Amino acid sequence: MTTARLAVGARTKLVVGALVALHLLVAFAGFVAPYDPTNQDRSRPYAPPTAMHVAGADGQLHSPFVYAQVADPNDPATYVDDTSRRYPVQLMANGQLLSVEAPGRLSLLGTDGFGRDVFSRVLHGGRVSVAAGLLATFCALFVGITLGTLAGFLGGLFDRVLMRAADVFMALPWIYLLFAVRAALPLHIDTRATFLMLVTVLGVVGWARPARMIRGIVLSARERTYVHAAEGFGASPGYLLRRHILPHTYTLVLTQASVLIPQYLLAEVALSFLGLGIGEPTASWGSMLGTLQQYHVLTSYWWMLAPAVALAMIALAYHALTALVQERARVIAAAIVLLLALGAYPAAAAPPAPRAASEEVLALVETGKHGGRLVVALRAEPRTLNPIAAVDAPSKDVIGRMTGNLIQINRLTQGTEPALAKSWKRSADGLTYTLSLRRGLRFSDGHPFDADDVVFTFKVLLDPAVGAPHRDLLVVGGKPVSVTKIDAYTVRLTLAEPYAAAERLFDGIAILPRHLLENAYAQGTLSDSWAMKTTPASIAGLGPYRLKQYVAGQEIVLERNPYYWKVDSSKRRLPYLDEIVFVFAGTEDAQVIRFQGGESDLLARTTADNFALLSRDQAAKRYQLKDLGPSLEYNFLVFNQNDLTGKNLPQVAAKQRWFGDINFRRAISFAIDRQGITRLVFKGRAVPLWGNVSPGNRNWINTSIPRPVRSVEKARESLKASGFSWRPDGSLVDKQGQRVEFTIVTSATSAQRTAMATLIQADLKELGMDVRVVPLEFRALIDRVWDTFDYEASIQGFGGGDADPNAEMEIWLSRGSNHIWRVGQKTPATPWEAEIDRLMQQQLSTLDAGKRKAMYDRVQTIVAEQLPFIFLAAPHILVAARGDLANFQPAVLDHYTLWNADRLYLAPQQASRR
Amino acid sequence: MSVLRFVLRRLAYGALITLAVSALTFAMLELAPGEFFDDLKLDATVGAGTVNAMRQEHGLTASAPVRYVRWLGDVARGDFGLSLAHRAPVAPLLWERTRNTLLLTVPALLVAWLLALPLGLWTARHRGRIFDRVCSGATSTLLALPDLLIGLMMLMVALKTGLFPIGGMFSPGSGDADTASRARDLAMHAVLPLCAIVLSTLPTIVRHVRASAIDAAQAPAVRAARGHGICGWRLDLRYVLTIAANPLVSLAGLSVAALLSASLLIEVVMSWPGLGPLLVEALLARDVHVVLGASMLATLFLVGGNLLADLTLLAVDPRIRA
Repeated sequence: MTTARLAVGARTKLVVGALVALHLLVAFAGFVAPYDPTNQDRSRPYAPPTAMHVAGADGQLHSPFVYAQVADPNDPATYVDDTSRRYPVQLMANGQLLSVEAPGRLSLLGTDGFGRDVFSRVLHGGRVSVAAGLLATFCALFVGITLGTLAGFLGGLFDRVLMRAADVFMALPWIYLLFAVRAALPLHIDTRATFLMLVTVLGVVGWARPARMIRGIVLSARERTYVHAAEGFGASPGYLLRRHILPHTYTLVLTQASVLIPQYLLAEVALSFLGLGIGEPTASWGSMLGTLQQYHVLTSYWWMLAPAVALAMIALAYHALTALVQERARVIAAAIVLLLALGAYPAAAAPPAPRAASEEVLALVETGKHGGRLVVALRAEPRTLNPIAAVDAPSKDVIGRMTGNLIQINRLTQGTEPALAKSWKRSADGLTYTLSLRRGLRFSDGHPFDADDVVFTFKVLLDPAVGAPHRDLLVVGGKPVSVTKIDAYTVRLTLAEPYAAAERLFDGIAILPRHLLENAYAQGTLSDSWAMKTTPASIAGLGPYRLKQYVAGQEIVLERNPYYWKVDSSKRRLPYLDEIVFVFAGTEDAQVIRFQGGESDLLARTTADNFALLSRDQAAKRYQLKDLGPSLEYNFLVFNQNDLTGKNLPQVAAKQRWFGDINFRRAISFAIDRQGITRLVFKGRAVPLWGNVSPGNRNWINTSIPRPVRSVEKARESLKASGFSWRPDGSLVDKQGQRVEFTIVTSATSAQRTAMATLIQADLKELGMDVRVVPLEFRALIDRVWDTFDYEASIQGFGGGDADPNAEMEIWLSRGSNHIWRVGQKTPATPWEAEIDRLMQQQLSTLDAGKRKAMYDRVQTIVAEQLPFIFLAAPHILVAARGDLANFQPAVLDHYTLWNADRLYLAPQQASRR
Repeated sequence: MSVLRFVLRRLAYGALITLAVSALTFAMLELAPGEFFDDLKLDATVGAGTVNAMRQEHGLTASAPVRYVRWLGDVARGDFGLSLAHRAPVAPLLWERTRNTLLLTVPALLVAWLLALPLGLWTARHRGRIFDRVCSGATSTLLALPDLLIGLMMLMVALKTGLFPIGGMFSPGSGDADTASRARDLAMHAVLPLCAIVLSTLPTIVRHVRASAIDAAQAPAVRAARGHGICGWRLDLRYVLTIAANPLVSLAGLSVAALLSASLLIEVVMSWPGLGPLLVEALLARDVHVVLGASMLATLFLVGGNLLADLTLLAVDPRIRA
């Protein structure tokens, strides 16, 4: 017995000691952590932990020291020690526990993607996270115990109502309440308020489970004979509860606590996704664990596991504590007081090294071999197989392989080429197009194709009753185009006014089989036809593949269309592949892992991080990895310049005098480190942008747009010119003396845009601006930027569609719905927007390519001068395919990899891959 | 009070709860910003007029109470509405996915309980020993890992070992294979997601079993049994477990409710075609009818699970019956 007691006593000391030590570490993070947790060292993203040495390169022993880490000249993504100089580790110098002299760095747990010290972030992040986890657990348990006990003790109606309420609470999709809470709150919430909210939300939502379990115990306890006896002796309910009933629940409560503390710490990961978490740059374990959940981080940078290890240690310590309490050992409860305010300091940006983009060479189509199956993992399941109704990317990916169009855009040349129409003629006035269709073509069910199908397709597309989302494309000059049949193989398209990009329109219009859809159209059910469950026999198209089988949630199998109209140079019918199987991977990481494991054969587009990860085992697994250079997508920072009259947004309106000031926007553009963005966010696989046309759009880019280098000096001059000044503490104030602070909202699903915002935040800190980053759930973000205008600045991206400026009409026309800095104006608010309106309208009906280019060049120049968008970067298109996939000619226009699916084949000589 | 009346009354409550949940879910959906057709706004080829026409077509322009009542009327006729995203009726959509989810979660939660009971009893009996400490270290670590991360790690296990398929439910294009080989294929695909769910649910159960067992070991009945020379598993199963049952039964009831929710994120990461991918997407896309249908389904499981738990409590804990 004595030894057991001693053991318990020793263990108590150990557990309490460990807990106190952990909390002290976290509470005194400022002293223990060697660096400011928000300090970015952009020359060292993802640097591994620095090793402490005692034996030097000179063969002698020294007091502990470190070497500086420098990027490996052969591979900039890895680091080597610069052994030319030793940096001794100093104890208790400069008010820090451990430190080394710059430029040496003591990163005990390495750095994150922004070059921030992970050890410091774990310690500082622990303050907020541990306190929030503990308090939330306390709240949930307190409410749970109170209600559960009362329900079990009082019984009857109270019990019934409460337990049914608990059922309701557990069944509700709380995520919507959180969306709503997020929308009702001000955009920027400071860390302290966020913290309190986390606690409240978790407490309010979390009471039901413990309450149910406690009620069960109380129910049993109150029927014990000694309780009845005490009651008979006249014991008060309070006494009964305290003396006889509550003690039975201790074990359960303690166990719940030991389980809930880590769970509630993790809940912050989910809440961050809704914009309710602790925002950048403040460190928190939730946001760090969020980063860890990315495949490339998990596999490439083991030190990023640190927050999970820390959390496990805390969880273990609290588990041990609750176990001790249960054993009735004497425990001195450790008082945990956590300081919440965290300071942020400006980051010193290092000059970046540019990285050359590789450009793909056009290759001639090889004659291939028939047979084989290609497996492609889509991110999500397609929603429909109906070309008219499809708006989501996965549906379009699949439908595109099953359907054909009259004229198509060659993805490599970005020009048009004949498809189902073998030739076409434009009238001199540009108002009519006469298309000659190929003869003898058949749909994939064997039914012949002729002009009636084309006329039918245009008729249903243009019928407002059908509600085709892409109807607007075919409304030119305010009037829908008209399509008439001349003979069985000739159709004529008539426009109300000349339309420069008319030919390109055909690329997006899948020709429908009249014989299969006419009835549905007559009955008004056309847009609901061809749902996923449709039998293959009732779907037909003119594409290289046709539907074979769909298994809900699992796969779509397309098989070779035996009636496909293309043949190769040896007159053999295309396509080569027997089958294309689309499977659904759920997340981008799952897509990559499946590809690595050889369970899918193609990655249509991947991030630079995953591309880097794949290139590590490229040699062993013989993938084809291709960097196609810049995409057409442009990412930009936009300020809210919308007309807010009648919107009751006084705070945003007050800041609009900055947002509308061209000097302010220019200053921001000067201050942003675009090279830093391409290097840190895209691992060099992106190009910095100063205009809306990416270098990937070879035919349309205006190359004369200036590309000024980053200059904080020029930014300051620009701000001074508009009367901004700096307070002695370096913070920026405007003419009226108001501090310059604003919030950038980004999409929580786009790690890259949030990362860009985090870099910009640090860049603008140098100008004395206080910028906050708030990631929001996708639809909540759209609601703010497009509808309610309740935001200040946002990072967005456009330009995934066609290369032609026509695709951008809604963005640049001042009345456009995607003119997001000032949506849908009746009349242009500024002379330069009026000029853009004029130019965009003019180019639309100008048939001379040279003149159109000149007009669009001018638009680009105006945009680059006026900066309604502050352009940031265009990521490269990065694709991968199995090694033996031949004729693989990915392009920067969508669909990047499967646009030539009819020609893809599996080369037999390398068939034994992986 | 007869058990039958008790059950009937609870079922009636169940119907009321389901109604309340549907109304509250609908209200929350209304309060949340954003709407299904919002993503069309990003598409430069779709004009604002078209988006409004589509909203009109799907009846989204009507006021919220009208839409709710309309939907309730449909439900009364057995029609749970159309999914906006899938353009298909909700009921068959949910049914198919629910089946796949249960295929995974029923065995997973059974395995979790079958592992957790002996583990909890054993660590309680030998508390403070090495095995107990290893076990609490392991449960702490598992509690510190988000579900998403566990799923991702399972995929990495599949990739590194090559023993298991990476995600999915069947091998691509295996639809034509015979039943036996499809069953084998399914089993192989289910192993890792099953492990992931077991790993994410096990720690909580183990801790509750261990804690209750430690308490129960102090009970006079157990001491008496021990005095009679009963020990080991016989003591644990016959005496300790019976006394420790109360909170475990409540927990098991909650496990029944968790059959639909325990695997959501793991299914998404591991591409299991269950409710997870469907529901996560529907939640984010504000696909109203799918969300309403799913939360009503969840309520049914919850009510059923809690009813089972309460009936079991009545059976195993005679004190409550009094």
